[in-house]
Amino acid sequence: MAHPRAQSDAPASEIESASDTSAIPTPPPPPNPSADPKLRYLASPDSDINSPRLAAQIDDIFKVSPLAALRLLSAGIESLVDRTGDIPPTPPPRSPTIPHMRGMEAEKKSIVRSNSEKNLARLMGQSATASPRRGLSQTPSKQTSPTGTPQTHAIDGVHLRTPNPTPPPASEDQPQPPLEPYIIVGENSQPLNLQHSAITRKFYSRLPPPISITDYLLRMHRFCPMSTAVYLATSLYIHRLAVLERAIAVTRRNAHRLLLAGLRVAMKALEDLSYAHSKVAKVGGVSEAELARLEISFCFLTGFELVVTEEMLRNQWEMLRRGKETWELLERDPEGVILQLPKPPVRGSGVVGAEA
Amino acid sequence: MDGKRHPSSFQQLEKLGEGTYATVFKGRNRQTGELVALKEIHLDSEEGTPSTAIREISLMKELKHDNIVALHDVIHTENKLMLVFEYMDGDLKKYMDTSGDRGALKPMVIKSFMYQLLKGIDFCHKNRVLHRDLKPQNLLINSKGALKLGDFGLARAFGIPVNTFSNEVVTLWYRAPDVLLGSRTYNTSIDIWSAGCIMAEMYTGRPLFPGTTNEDQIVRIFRIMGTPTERTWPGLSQFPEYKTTWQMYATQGLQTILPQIDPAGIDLLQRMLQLRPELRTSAHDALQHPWFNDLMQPQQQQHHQPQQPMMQPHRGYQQTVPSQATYDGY
Repeated sequence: MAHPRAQSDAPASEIESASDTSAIPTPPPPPNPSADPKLRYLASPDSDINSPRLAAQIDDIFKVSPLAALRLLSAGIESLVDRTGDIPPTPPPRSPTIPHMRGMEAEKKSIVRSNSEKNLARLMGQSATASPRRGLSQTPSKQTSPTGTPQTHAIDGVHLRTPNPTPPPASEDQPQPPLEPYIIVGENSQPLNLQHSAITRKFYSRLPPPISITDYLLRMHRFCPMSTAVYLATSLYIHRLAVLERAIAVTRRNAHRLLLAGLRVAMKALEDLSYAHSKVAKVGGVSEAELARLEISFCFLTGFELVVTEEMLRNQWEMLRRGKETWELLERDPEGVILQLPKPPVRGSGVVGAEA
Repeated sequence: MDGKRHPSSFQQLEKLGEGTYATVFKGRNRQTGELVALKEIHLDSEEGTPSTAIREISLMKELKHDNIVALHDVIHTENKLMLVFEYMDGDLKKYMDTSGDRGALKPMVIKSFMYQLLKGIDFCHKNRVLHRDLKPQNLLINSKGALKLGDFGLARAFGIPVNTFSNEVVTLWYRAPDVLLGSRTYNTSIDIWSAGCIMAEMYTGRPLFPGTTNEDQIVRIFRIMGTPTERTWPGLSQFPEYKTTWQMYATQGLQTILPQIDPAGIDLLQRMLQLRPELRTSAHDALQHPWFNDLMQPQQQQHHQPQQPMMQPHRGYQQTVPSQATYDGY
């Protein structure tokens, strides 16, 4: 309770003395948002909405329950994994080698290949030529820029300012400079991130984890419930890495760790309170040291591009929602899907805008 | 390969400051000779990467503006992150202490600084970012008279469906009344309150509301701005920290407390220091305030170098800032 008496004592004199020479009080310490004692991590109740289909009917992501967002995230990653197949990580360097360009090229090609075969995006692309609709956002869309000029490729999550340099001739005999141990984002970032394959390898396990992606996410949600924004942002980050930038192929062997790192980073970037590191590590099934490595690796893989807006989240949600609907329909009636795909909302191009 | 990518390509000079999670050094790019500020963040294997670092890097990557300190690079070594910022000569607090008249600055310097501060805030708000810790220590000054927002460790994006919005934000003296009353639905107006406090402080050389506790801070504000009631502030009694025991203070005119400010300046200050967040002016509107009119008028800038481009009002009234060795604002 307030003590009005005590408070009214000190005051008046101090206002008047505001210009005298008495010592300026020591500035108070900076605030610590996560120290807010009343800040509790409360996920909103999920009971009313537990199917993404229901959530899909809401046009306001503030009304999408975290669990509904989680299910869409799960479905989106599952579909990425399904379409990618098992792509091994690039082989570890035999000796410190410079750019693992060949490995990355191989990785990229195999992503392209897996995309080009039985993939929905291609079907959608075909339909898009017939009727100019926005295809499913899975189409690799960075081949040409909207202006039709060859676009600077975004390999490895690092945007090139200049056209893609040809890979250096990989002569193994050539004396190799020492492995460059530093990674940079920012204005002076290098076109090619030498550490790329070293980073992406951190997410792979030798065998696919025994728990399904969906169950893994539900487990995370049970013990560490997170917000709609965190789930949608994680989905956005991973789709951007896998589809837009093709920095990493999402497979059954790396999806869990990518999700864990993505959720952790999204939560730190977007929320004022995060779960204790030890708890997240335990729930996620990795050691604390590994969680720390995954987290910083994810930051660099995404180039710290972690800021999201409502519009970006809404676009991601719409992409996932329509993806889910489409995938479900596709299982039943592959032919019908293309015709039945709802018109894209006028609201604008998705984050992963695809003009096939 | 570009030498910038290695930490050793920066010559580490003297320490500039130490924060809770980082140490800032002055540095020099060995290749270009350019001065930089190097912020070293220790990577803790117990908590992983500090969320302040993740916030600061991700937000400052997006916020490129003349009045926001530029983040050039992020370098990762075994157990630390090194953030490479553009070099600034000092922070506003130190500048006031060393160059002001007992901390008080000249009106035209204040006007230029306020304009630049509001420009920086406006840019943040347009990009849906709240700074949440504006104070003189976090405003960096260079010898050309430029002022830039620094330290985005507490900043965050707003307008997205998150679960946690902390009430423990903004250093106490610069904390808006709605935050002090326990609001978790605060918005851009909290940065405007801080800007108002900073404006008054530049005139007097001392903090406007130097509270010691949350309660004391509220009372100090009410003593000058008047104690609000449900009638003057509908919804007041719904705030978690609302007290029926507040002493009722009448509103004092800001001009009586701050006689050194001209009437137009008082009018702007009054608009920034509204108790009710919804009545506080926005950065965008504040920049249109007539108080700033004479920043645009060349004939009043006799002390100016004639070749100074006048279309850049925020660069107006440049004043030499003595180089200072230390600051905390990164």
